[in-house]
Amino acid sequence: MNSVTRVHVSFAELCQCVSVSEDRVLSLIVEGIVTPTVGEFPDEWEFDSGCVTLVHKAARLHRDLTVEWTDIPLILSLLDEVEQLRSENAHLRQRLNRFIHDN
Amino acid sequence: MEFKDYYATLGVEPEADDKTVKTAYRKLARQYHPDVSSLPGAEDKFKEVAEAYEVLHDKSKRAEYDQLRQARQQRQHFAGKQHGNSSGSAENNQDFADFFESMFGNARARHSGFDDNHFAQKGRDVEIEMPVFLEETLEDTTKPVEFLLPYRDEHGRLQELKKSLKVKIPAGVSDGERIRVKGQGAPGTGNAANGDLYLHIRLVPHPLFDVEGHNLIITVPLAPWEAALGTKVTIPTLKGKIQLTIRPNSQSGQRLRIKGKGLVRKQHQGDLFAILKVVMPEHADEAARKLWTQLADSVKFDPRADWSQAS
Repeated sequence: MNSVTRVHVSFAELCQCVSVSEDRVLSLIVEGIVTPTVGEFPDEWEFDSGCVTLVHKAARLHRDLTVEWTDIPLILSLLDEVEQLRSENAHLRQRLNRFIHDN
Repeated sequence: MEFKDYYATLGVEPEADDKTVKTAYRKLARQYHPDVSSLPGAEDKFKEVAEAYEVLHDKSKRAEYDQLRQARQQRQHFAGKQHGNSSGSAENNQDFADFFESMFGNARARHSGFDDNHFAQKGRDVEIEMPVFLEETLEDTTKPVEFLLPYRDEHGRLQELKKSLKVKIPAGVSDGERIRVKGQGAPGTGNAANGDLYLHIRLVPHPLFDVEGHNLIITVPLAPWEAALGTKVTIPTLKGKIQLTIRPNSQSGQRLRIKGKGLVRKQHQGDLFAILKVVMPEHADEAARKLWTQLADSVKFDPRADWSQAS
């Protein structure tokens, strides 16, 4: 059996596993798109696995949608907002349906 | 592999200039890119579009492609004249497809956002959706997963390998969370490490419970007299049943908190909220009608008092 843990990756590992330069990842951190869960300085930083997905996504947007790196933080934050609103909407709709009858 | 009309895929004329090709690609990418599209089948469609753009926006590749395309058209034309139909060229088409694959196959793999084929590079990470039932989040659970792992065979062709694993889902996972299974993604090339498998947790909607953060919500239907007089109701939780006391004069929509019966979280246990919902019997017989009438005559109550104040 494979053990699954909610691992953390270091800054260097994060850049390596998404094949994105340190500068690019740094700019995403400065913009608050990815935030280290632990650590004050780059050497100490640790990121959760959600960050890996997010930086992957940034790289895909840049490459596939020809989005400039400077625009990536805005797009990521808007996409995140859309996802949150969709999920909230689905939850509220489900709850509403428990109260409403359509005859 | 059949011949692909890349111009048709991008919806441009074969004479289209670079700018037109780029504009068409960007428009389609915006429409079908799996990161920004919720359309069904968007990912496959985007792959086709990306493949077409990969060839058409590169001058030399496009020139090669145009040559092949022209040769194919001529051959079809020729075959049509010879046999009165084009079915005779089917075998040639297959040869052509292999030839084509050998020309563009590897180049395509390098470009596509969903394949990595660089030398000595860590294998691609794979992400799959992992449905988890609410009951399963209460303690560590082992679940089987099956997924297809794309890889390139010795001829550089894209193949899919079916993998089955058992993975441990830690207690307290939440909807949307991603957990990593190290080294279970695509194999790395040139001695580099394997990619990782990411499980994107999706909590399966429950027939009774709704999720709000780490709390659960259950809607509790009550008869009007139960709400009026108060009662004890047995309600289900994720672990067994409990007794809930309904006070007299309870309202529809009222929330009652049952501490510690929500979802498990690292920091603390969530709560269960019972939301009361007063429901009417569907039919009333003569006796019931009489009782309701007595009530109507003797109780002073205006449920729309707020309206008269507002108007």
